[in-house]
Amino acid sequence: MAHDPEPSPRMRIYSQPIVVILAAATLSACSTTTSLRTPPAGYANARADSNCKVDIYADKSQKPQRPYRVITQAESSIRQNVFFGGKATLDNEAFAELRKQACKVGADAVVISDYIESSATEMSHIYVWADLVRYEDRTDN
Amino acid sequence: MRTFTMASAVLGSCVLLLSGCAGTLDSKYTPSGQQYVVNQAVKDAGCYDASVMLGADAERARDIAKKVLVALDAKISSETDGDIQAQRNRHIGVMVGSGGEELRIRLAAVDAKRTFMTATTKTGFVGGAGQKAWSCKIVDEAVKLATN
Repeated sequence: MAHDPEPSPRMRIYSQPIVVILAAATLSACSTTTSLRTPPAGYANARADSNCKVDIYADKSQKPQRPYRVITQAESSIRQNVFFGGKATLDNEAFAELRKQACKVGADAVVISDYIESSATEMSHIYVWADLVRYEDRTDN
Repeated sequence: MRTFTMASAVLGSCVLLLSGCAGTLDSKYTPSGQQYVVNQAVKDAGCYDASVMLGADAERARDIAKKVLVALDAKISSETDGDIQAQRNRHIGVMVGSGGEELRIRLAAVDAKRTFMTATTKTGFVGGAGQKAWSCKIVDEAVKLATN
């Protein structure tokens, strides 16, 4: 008659509910999602290089002084567990994410239209809406 | 036996207090109910009900309302021109679970530059200990977006 083998000490640890909960909390410590509203046909990967430089206009009263056109709109959600990832902020995490998206689609600048920072229990969250724009006086346009 | 009964009653009361329902989705505030100053929020004591005369047209106010709800981790469940209902996503945290609160934003255009907004929160019975009232946060963030 076959018997189920005795679970190993490691398996016993993994079966503890507290371990499972802590592992889930750690895995869900940080998340960043960005959606681009309008597919920027023709611009994709235009500036996907390591030297990509992007201007950021975070204040609504400031706009690029050069002529530009909006090539797409980005909506980014950045969530961090303050215990594991620190607080998500506009200046750090949101700017970095928008710069990355701008480089991907060949934008020269990010013009932030709205942003909201919030927190609930140990999660901090920043939500930002921005226009990704391209300068029209670029020589390679 | 008597001690056990009393302890059970105290424990039961504590559980009820911690997880009790609170708030309703109907606001007591009306645009004519009091003198509103543009972009100055009026809130109840527990932040379950709040209102503001937003300095924005109806379209921008609606845009603001939806952005605030999404940013507060809520999913919109129903939406008409002047009424948006949503529920916050549930999370299991290290300390306590959270989310699940029902939120409602009502909008009424007053004129071309002003829209009256109310925000209400209803917390549920299950998981009420990890829930909170969001109405003050909603109107505060709406004012920030309307003024920036």
